[in-house]
Formats: sequence, C-alpha cells, structure tokens
Amino acid sequence: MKLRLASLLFVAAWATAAPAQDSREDAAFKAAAAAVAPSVVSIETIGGLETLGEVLVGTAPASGLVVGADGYVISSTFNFAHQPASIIVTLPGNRRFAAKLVARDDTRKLVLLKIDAPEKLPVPTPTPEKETAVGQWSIAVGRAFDPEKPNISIGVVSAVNRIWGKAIQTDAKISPANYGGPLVDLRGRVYGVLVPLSPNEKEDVSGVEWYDSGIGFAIPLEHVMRMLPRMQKGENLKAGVVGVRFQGANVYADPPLVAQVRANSPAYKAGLRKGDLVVAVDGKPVELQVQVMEQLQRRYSGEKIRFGIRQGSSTKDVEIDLVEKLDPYKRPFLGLLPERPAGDAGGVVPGVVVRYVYEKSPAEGKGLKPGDRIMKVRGTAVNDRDALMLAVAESEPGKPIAVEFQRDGKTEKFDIEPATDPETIPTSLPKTKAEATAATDKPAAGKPEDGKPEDGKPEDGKPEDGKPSGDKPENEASEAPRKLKIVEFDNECDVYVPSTYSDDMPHGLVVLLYRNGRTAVDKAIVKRWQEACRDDGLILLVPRAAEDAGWTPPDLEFLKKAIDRTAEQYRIDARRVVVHGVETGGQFAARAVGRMTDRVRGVAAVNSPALLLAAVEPDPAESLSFYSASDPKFPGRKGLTANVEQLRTRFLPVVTRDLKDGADYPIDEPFAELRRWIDSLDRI
Amino acid sequence: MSRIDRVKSRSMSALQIVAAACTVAGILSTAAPPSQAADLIETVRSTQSKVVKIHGAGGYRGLEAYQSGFLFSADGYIVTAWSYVLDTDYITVTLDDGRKFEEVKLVGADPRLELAVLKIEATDLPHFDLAQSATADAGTRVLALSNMFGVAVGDEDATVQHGIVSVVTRLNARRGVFATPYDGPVYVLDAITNNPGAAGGVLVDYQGRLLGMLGKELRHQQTNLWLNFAIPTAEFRTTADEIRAGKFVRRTMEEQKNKPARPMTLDLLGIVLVPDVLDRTPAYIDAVRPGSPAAAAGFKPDDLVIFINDRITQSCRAVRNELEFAHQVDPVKITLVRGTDLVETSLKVIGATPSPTPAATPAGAASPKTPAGGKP
Repeated sequence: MKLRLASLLFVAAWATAAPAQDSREDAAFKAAAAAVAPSVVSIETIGGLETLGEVLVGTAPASGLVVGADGYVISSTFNFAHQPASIIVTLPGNRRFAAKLVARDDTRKLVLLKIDAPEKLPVPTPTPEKETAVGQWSIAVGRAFDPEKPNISIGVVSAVNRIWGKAIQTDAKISPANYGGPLVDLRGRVYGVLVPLSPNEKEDVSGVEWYDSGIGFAIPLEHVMRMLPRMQKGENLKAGVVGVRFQGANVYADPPLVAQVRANSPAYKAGLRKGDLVVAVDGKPVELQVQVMEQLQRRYSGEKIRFGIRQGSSTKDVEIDLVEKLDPYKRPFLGLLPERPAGDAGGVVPGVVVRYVYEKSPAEGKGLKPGDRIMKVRGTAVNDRDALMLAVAESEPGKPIAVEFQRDGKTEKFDIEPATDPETIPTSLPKTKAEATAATDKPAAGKPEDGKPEDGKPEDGKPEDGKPSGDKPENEASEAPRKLKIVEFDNECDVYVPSTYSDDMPHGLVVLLYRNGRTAVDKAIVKRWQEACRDDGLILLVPRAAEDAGWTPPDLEFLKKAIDRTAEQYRIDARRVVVHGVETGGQFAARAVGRMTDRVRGVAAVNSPALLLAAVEPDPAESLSFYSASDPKFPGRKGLTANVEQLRTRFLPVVTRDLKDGADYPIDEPFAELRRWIDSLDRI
Repeated sequence: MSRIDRVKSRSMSALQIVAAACTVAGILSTAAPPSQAADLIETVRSTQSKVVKIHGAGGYRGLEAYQSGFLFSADGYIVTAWSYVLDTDYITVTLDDGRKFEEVKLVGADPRLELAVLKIEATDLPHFDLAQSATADAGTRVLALSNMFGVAVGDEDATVQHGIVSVVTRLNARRGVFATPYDGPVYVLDAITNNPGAAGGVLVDYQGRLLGMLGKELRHQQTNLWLNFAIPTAEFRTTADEIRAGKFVRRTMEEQKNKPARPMTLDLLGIVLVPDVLDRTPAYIDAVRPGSPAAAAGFKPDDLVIFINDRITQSCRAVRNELEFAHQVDPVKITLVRGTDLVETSLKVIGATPSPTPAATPAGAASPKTPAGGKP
C-alpha cells in the first residue's frame, strides 16, 4: 500500500512537471500587461481635418498613458495630427473626461493632455534606460479596440538609441492600435511610449507605413518624465538648430568641416566660421558629421551644445544655443556711403570717412554728415571700410548699436538703430575723394604694372597692349580693348581699361555677359560703358562664350579665372564687382553667381528672365545686391517678376526699373541710374 | 527484526522510493524544455492532420482560388469560411495526407458568421471535437494553422504561425467600422493571419485545443489597417452542428432587425444640428427649439453631441444613424461637450407627434397641456 502511495505520488509529481516555460511566460505576459493596464487610457477625438495629405484620417480610438497623477496623459501626435475640435479620454472603468491638449514634443511625436482627474491616477514606473537590454521581452499595450480590455502584442527589444538616439526599437506589432500606449517589460515597468517614427521624415504621420511590420519605436519613459515639467507649463518642445552646414555629401564618412555658417545664427554669434573643423561635442571627440548630428538631433531648442573646434592651428571651445528656427539674414542698413581709400591710404589713417548720407535713413536721422570720420562701432575700432561694413553687417535691423565718430576734431557718440535696405538709388552722388583727386591729376594713361612687358609681345595670360603706352588718347571711344586669354580656355575676352586708370584708385569691375556670348556687343553700348568706366573708375570685361551654341558650364570657370586674372593686373575694388547679364547672358549670370559669391557683389540684368537661380547662403562679409532693368513686354517678364519676389522673401535687395517700350538696353537716365547703383554697392 | 521494525523498514524503503521519485520528477521538470519542445511538435502534428486545403473559384484580379478549412467529424464534415471560393460546383479538398476529394458537397452556410460547412466522403478522419474546444484571453499563446498563400500543395502540411491573443472584443462596438455582418466577440490576434488563403484555418492553444476559426481578410473602414482575427468556437459551434444536422435556419441580420419602427429623431428632441457639409461634420448644435425636451434640459447652441446612448457619434450623420436605433418612447442618453466639460443628460419625449408651433405652446415633458393631436 505504501508502494501504491509512492507510485501515486510519483505519478502526481510527473504530471505537474508538464506546465512549463510557456505557461509561465503566458502568465508573465498577462501579469505585466495587467500591471500597467490601470494607467492605459482610451482616447477619442471629434472633428478636425478629414484628410492629411492623401491619407484619410482614421477615427478609431487611440491609446494614452497616465504620466501625472493629477490627470496628465501622454499620447502620440499621430492621434492628433488632424487637429481635433474635441478630445475625450476614457479611464478604465468607462469614465469619460474632456481633455485639453497642453503641449507637444515635435521631435519625439508626443502630445501631453490634461483632464480633471476624479482621484489620483496610477503613474507607471519607468524601466531605467540602463536596464533596457536588447533581446528582453517587450509587451506593447493599447486600448484601441475595447475600453475595458487592453490589447497586447509581444515582441523583444530590438535595439536602443534608434532614430538619432531618441527611441527604443521593438518587433512587437506597433500600429495605430497602440500608438500612445506603453511598451512594458516583464515586470510591468514601462520602457517607453509607442510612437510612429521614421529616421528621415518629420511629419506627424511618418513611420505609420511601417505598422505591424516588425519594426516599431518607443520613446523612453525616463526621458518623458524628465521633460514633463516643461510640457506641463505648456511649453512645446521643438528641435533645435544652430545654423551650420558641413561640407561633403556623405554624413557617415565626411568629417565635420564647416562649409557655411548662417549669418547671425547662434553658431555665427558663437564664433564659428567657414573652414572650422568640429573636433569634439560636449567634450567627446568626434570625427564624422553623423556623430555631430546625433548629438544635435537629440536636443531641443532652448538647450545648449558645446563644440570643440579647430580654427587654423588653434583649438577652442564654443557654447552654442539651439534655436527653433533660423531667421533669414536681413542686412542692416545705416544709410551712408564710405569714402573709398585712395592709393594705400586704407588702414593707415584709422576710421572711415562718410562720403554721402542717404535721405530718410537712420544715419540722416542721427545727424551724420559727409566728412564725419567713423572710429568705432559696437565698441571696436574700425580701421577701414571693410571692417566698418562687417561690424554693421553683424548687427541686426531694429537693434541699436553704438557708433563713435569724429567731427571737426571732436569725438561724438550715438546709438543708431539700423534699418533694412531701402532698395533705392540716390538721384545723384558726389565723387569719392579718390576719384575727385584723380580727375584733377594728370591721368596716368594706361600704365601697365611693373614687371609687365611693354613691347607689345603677348605673353600667356597677360593682356596685350593695343596701343603704345604713354600717349593720352583723345577720345576714349577710339581705344581698342585689350585681350585677355587664359591657357586651357578657348574663350576670348575683351578688357576695357579707361585711360584714367591709376593704381591709386581701385576700380570697380563690370563683367558684361552680352546675350548668348557669341553676338558682337552693340557699339553704342560699348561706347556708353567706356565713358562710364572713365568717369566712375570702372574696368569692363566682355567675355565671349567658348561654344557657338552659347553659354555653357565651362564658361563659368573661365569667368572666375578672368576676374581673378584681372584683379592681379589691376587694382580692383572688391566691393564693386558686378556681373551684368543682358538677355540670355542674364540667365547664365543667374546661375553662375551662385558659384562666385566670394567674388561678385552685384548682379545687374537687362531683359533677363531671372536674376538669381542658385541657392545662395547670405554671408555678412559678402553682400549681394540686384538690379533689373526690363521692358514690361519682354517675354521673360513674368518669370522675372516671380524671381524678384523670391529674392525679396529672402531679404536680398533688388532694385527694378522698367524700360520704355521696346527698349533693349538702358539709355540716358536709366543708364545713369545703373551707374549710380554700381557706385553705391559699398553702402552701409 | 520485530514487527514494528519490519514495518518501519518497509515504510523507510517506501519513503525512499517516494523521495527518489520526487527527486526524479523534480529533475525532469527542470529539464522540461526538451520535452516541452516535443509536446509542441506533437501538438502541431496532431493539429495539422485536421486541417484541409480547399480549392475552388477565383484565381483572377487578386482573388485567390484557395482557402483553408478543418474537419469536425470523422466522416468528413468540414468547417470553412463562407466566401467566393465556394461559389462553384468544382470545389476540391486536399487532406494532410495528400488525399484529394473532388466530390465535395456544400452542405450549408451562415452569412452572418461567414461560415460554411462542406462534406467529403471518407471515414476515420482525424478531426476536432467542437464540444472539446477551449477559450483564451489576452496574452494566451496560440498557434494558427492554415494554407495561407496556398503554399502547401498535395500532402504538404498547413503553415503554422505562432502568436498570442491580443484582445478579446466585439468588432462592431462602433457601427459600420468593419465590413462584416458578424458583430459577436472575436479573438484579435498578435500574428499576421490576414493573408490570402488563411480564412477557414484553425486557431489552437499550445495544447492543441481548438480556440476558433481564422477570419477573412478584413480592413478597418476608417484607419484602413488590416485586422488579424479568429471567431471563437463557442460562437459557431451550434451553427456548424445545425448545418451538419440539416436543421439550420438562417437568421436575418440582427442589427437591422433591431431598428425600431418608430425611431427617435432630432426634431422630436428639438435639436437642430449645424449644416452637414463635410464628410464628417462634428455634431454641433446650431439651435434648440424653445419648449422642446432639449431646451428644457438646458441644451445650448455650440454644444457638441458626442455620445448617444453611450455610443460615440463623431459626425452629424452618425448622430442621425444612432438615433434610428433608439425608440421614440424610450429615454435617450445624450452626452455633450460644453466648453471643457462633459455633460450627460437623459431626454424623454412624451407625445407621439411633435408640437405644431413652437412659440405659444410649450411642448415636451414638463407641460401638463397637450398640443392638438397629442396624447394626454
């Protein structure tokens, strides 16, 4: 009998060995879901948009998670992308409450709601990020089918720090059935809040196309709790930008070498400039652009980031604020023209003398007069015109800056509030001191610089003298142009240097792109320009296209070299380098300028269908102005008007002028105005 | 040895055997995994033999010509999904062992459950006993067996998928969301079963007990998301048996039958909603007729009607729809959003016809006077 008992016990023990791993796991899944269920709510919305793009908005209930005992609920922005008129939250037990949308986190697709909770609601425990390990069970819980029963899906943690470090990845089935609900571990603690995410798209509904596909994301609850106080105050959390663009197309392979810094952006204000190399972020060394981006993309606007940068041979640390958006650069305008330094006078005598004050400008308002010598701007001494321009360019319209100047031996100060460019051209301008002196002096007729051959023998790359040196021409117009030839280019190029040229007076440079570059320039136009060159101190370049068909991309390279070569031969005023396109030439110029912003300061077009067809990043140190003269009836007029509008939205100054019916080139007053526009390119 | 000693020694040895047995059992239970896996394999094997592959009509324009089914009697009665695949005289059923039957009779179907019963001539077939089925709840581990995508041919086994039950719920808690006449409870599954050919397959637990029949491909009308679900055995067991016994009587669509002959209307309540110009115009109240039940309850213009009898109404059309299911004489519970508050009121309309002119005669619950033609 005892043996029978023994065998019975044996059989009983054997039988109970059967329920195993699986049913223990089952029980664990159910228990974990049950532990968090009291904090999972159902959300319904009424009204709002009916389609988002091409997607018809769903009206199924959504899920949310209690994060604040007094009634704060977090959910996914996906559920509110349609901007509903009314939001109803249903607590377990079928109790309904109207909810208010308090704040959003656009970087992580979260939305915070508030209801008047009837009692203290249960707040779940977050899984510490340190304890979140790849491979662990993860259970996604939602309340989209039945307000009384949560729906669950089982998966594992597939990865952490996904989507630029923001999310936990899971292979549980994540879909609108559980967006906004929690992803929990086996202990019922919450890893994170489920949201649709996509590495590249930023819309509220991006990432939904991956629903139920084995890839889903959750924002760590620990992070949500850290940001909760800011969101509870109603602060919408947004991505932050600093205003830097790196060089190179491959973020995973290229080093973080700064290609551009947006004017007046936080990066600019912190001292970052083109050519700097970022070597560390928040103290951690970086070698690739993607490493910098990872750090930037996790942060919000309003936070700071520290870059270690190498500038030239020195390294330094800068702290940069992240802002929500970068304002387009608006060049500040005081309303004065500076005297142009004659000879090598620039820099020797400190300060910049005012040559002309614009009517109705801030400068006029402060009583600035021609002859005043500006010594300091914003506390720093300005030694020359370029320093003054930069000091003013780095300020902001509407924000007063301190200016110190000398008049009649006395130093005076004021605060002046810069305005924006008025897009006007003065009706008359006094000659610069340098020009005035040159006019009275004996003109040094076409004196070539030292070291050039005077025997007329052409050398590679040097202009050929078309006339014997030392003679004073009687009529400017009778002067034949010099030729500019550059090795490896087929292009021909005429150079018109006025007889009045002197090294003492830096000349402006006008590059005339006439029609398709193969037609001969109208003689009348050349004559007009020759006079302008003599009177205004300009050099005219007339390049021709290499191909019979017209302007082609290699011509751009020639243009760049031609400008550079001319600048080597003659003293060119960098502030008055103008590309002047006529008709098709203007169209070519509109594209070419994008690659010549370091050389060109003005674009003047006649009857051209566009002024600028390139993306140009404004740089305080490199101003860019536009002038357009067109016949209202010319075929490209509509395109031109649209292009001008675009430029104005980017705060690039454009002056437009209508030509009389049928005119194909400005004459008389319009031409004089164009000359004055060139003369005022260095306005401050 | 004394008698006592002999007893003692025998009980000692008995105890030792018990102890040994328990230890062995203990060791075996912690060494469970290998036998666990063996159990699962056995479950799958025995279940697969009960699943059949069905071929019939279809094969063009994305409509597949195959689906799944399972045996519920030894002599060849099969439960499957009622679909266009059966809409032909040439249905073939292939068993797990490769036997192909071309003489297949469509015994009957229930359009509400979207279920059909077929019959093949055979004996001693492995089958599910519908009376011995089991139930599951959210989190239960399940296996789904079917011939999804028609990958199994001839004597190849049905496909096995694993997952859990996501939630047990009614599909049409919200009217018209799923294009299916069935509004009973379903197992929503955490497994991708909404594939062509899976309908009619089986859902079993890890012990091989029948939980339900895999449902047809179904899409949420509004979110356009696919639903993976199975109909619990308890919901179709009686119907399957009745069809088999030749005693099945088709029930008309339950929902339509429930619509009252004299339903409630907005006019009776005294509510005028805003013009219904959008696809889903939110049901804002534009005006409340003075003296009406709504007016007496304090309804105001700009209140938003969101629940009628606890069913959500996200548009004017939904409000009108929902009222069609409410009897004129029953009180109707209306939930409004007023500003940031939720207000629940029960409105009752007494009198079969609405009062003729609003201004002079106060109509509705509170008034003792009755309008001409109204009930006293």
